Amino acid sequence: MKYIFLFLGLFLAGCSSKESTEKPKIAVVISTLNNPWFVVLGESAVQQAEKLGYEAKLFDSQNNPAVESDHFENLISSGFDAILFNPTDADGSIANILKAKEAGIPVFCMDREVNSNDAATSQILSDNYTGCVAIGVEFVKQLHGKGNYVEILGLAGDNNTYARSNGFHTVVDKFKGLKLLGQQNGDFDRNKAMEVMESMMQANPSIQGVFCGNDAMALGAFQAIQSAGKSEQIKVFGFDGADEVVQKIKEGKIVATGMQYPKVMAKTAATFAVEFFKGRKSFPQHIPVGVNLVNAKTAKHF
Amino acid sequence: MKKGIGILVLLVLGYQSVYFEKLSTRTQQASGVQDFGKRVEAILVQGVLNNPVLTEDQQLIKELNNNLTNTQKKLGNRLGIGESAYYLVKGKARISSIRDGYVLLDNGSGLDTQFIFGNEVRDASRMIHLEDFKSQKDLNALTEALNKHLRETKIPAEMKGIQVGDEISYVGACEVAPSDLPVTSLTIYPVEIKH
Repeated sequence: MKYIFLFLGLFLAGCSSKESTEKPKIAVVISTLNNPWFVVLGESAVQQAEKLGYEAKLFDSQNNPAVESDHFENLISSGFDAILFNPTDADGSIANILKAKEAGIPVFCMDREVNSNDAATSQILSDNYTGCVAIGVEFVKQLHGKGNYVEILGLAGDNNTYARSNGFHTVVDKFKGLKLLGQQNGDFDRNKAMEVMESMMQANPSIQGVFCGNDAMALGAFQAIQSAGKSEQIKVFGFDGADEVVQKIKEGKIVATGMQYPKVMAKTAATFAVEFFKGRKSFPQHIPVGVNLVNAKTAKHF
Repeated sequence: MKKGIGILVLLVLGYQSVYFEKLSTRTQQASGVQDFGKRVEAILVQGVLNNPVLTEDQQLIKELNNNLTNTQKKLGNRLGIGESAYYLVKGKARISSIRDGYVLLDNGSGLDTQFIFGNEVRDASRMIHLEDFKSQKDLNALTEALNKHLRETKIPAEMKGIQVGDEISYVGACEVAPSDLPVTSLTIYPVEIKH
């Protein structure tokens, strides 16, 4: 009988010893790893978590909410302790966050906002709105407050797409001399933006400026403009701070972009997760991360 | 009798199933416009005009160049994460030129009255806290309400009759990043202009 108690005692001691010594695991779930920008975000989050002494694993949702949902099911059952999350869908991803929340797992959103004020533990997001306000001011100055322009938006239904366009129009719409001739979705995709720009130039030969919701689309639009021999006529503006665009700004081919900081967002999310493990329970629902204007004057700093 | 009761029930159900609201209220909600009047007033009066961190512009330039990190901690503020900070400034100077809403002063700095769209005044005032806002959209709406009041109402009224050569006193906010060093002049987004 005493051997049974001894065995049980050792077993329970072993269990508690494992729980107390096992370090929490962090999952990094990224909307897509097909886009280099998100690769930087995801890999930085893993590196930061590891740097802080925690095991971290990267998951690719392939821009598919169903895949994302499977990841959440798996990582909840596999015992992950925190999720650094870049959602695929502002509304669709809320259910996944709530599942994790129910299981006691904190979720820190990075870069993409979900439409809920109390699902995620905190959302660390680029200040897309203010960044595009700055782009809007630069746009007005470069076009001297008058002329025809078009806009290539990101994805329909995406919060970043809305925030960027809204910030830009907060400024530009105040200048009655600037006329919006067309607005189409380019889905944040370079090739699609190139096609969209080609068709908009055919329909409106007098375009003088184009605002693109990200740099991939700015590069696609620039390619179309260059092929049409209109690079002197049409001024291109992007958003993201991609190396290729910063280089083109230095060369005078693209006018401006907004520099985002995926590594800062990843570092903040990983640090918050660790602070959560150490007992912090209160986090601001939204943390804006500043976006810097990159133009001919400031490009040397980037 | 039964028919009468039936009609009455239908009327009650019909009335209970709809909700009447002023069209103007509905339009305002749909466009995300909220009434920030009192909050804007508090930011301008308590957060800016009566804020003890309000610094003479030449003194601020001196302190920024002397020790940016300490000056950021002592006089600067910023909501969220970023390398730049926002400062409250005041000063007196003569107007050298006015072009496209930009009032160039004889001390080298300038008042940008046209492009008051950013976070300068909001953040420098220290009156706004991220915890008070459930969404970025609400925070952005307040920022635009504040900027719109300054850009379209208060500053244009105060600029009336002001000409090149006039001596003015001003209060406002500016942004300074490490890449701006050494600072020689400031672009100030005005909150008050007097002459």
